[in-house]
Amino acid sequence: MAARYAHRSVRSVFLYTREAHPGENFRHHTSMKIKRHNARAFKAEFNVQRQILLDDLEGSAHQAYGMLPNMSWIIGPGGMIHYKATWTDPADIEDALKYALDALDRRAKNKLLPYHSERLKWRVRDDDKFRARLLKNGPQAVRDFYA
Amino acid sequence: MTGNAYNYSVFNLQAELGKFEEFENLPLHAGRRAPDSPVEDLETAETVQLKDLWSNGLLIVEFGSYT
Repeated sequence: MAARYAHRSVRSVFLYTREAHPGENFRHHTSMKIKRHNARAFKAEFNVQRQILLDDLEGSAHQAYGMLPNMSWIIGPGGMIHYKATWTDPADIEDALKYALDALDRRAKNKLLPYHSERLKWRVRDDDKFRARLLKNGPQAVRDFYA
Repeated sequence: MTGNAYNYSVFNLQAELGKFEEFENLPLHAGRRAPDSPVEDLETAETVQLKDLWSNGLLIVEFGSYT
């Protein structure tokens, strides 16, 4: 997505946190070496093209942003938060990105003032897919989640 | 939270569901300033400041892990 908007100074990064569902195949991080190893495995399996950034071992950035396992944010010049979501939905992100780009373009000329809007979004729950994903992490990850 | 407490070895569903409730009280609302933090580029191993990534445009940040 970021590539489609790069000409409008949009960047996209993946910030690698702690392992959400550690298992026998991908253990929790006890060192940055393990964290880098898991991040490289993630990059290879999902062919991640975005820049991957590693948080420190204590999760300083993750903790500052609320510690949810798969949240997304859009941050603008000066650090202004334009969007935050407790889950990552590419379509919703693109919708918010288009809005933010348009608002920033028109802000000065049209004397725009910000206001807040909140809405509930919905995502598909696919237990079979999720269980299969957990199993790749190791049987422990399945047991822990469905305990 | 220390590294050991942060990097749990066993997932606890109730504890993690609590994080979603805590998130609602996080004072980082749209319109507020995002916190800066040093992070490490996986490819170059160089330290990157998040604020440098949003200095000239919009930055999409997805948090996550392999698992």
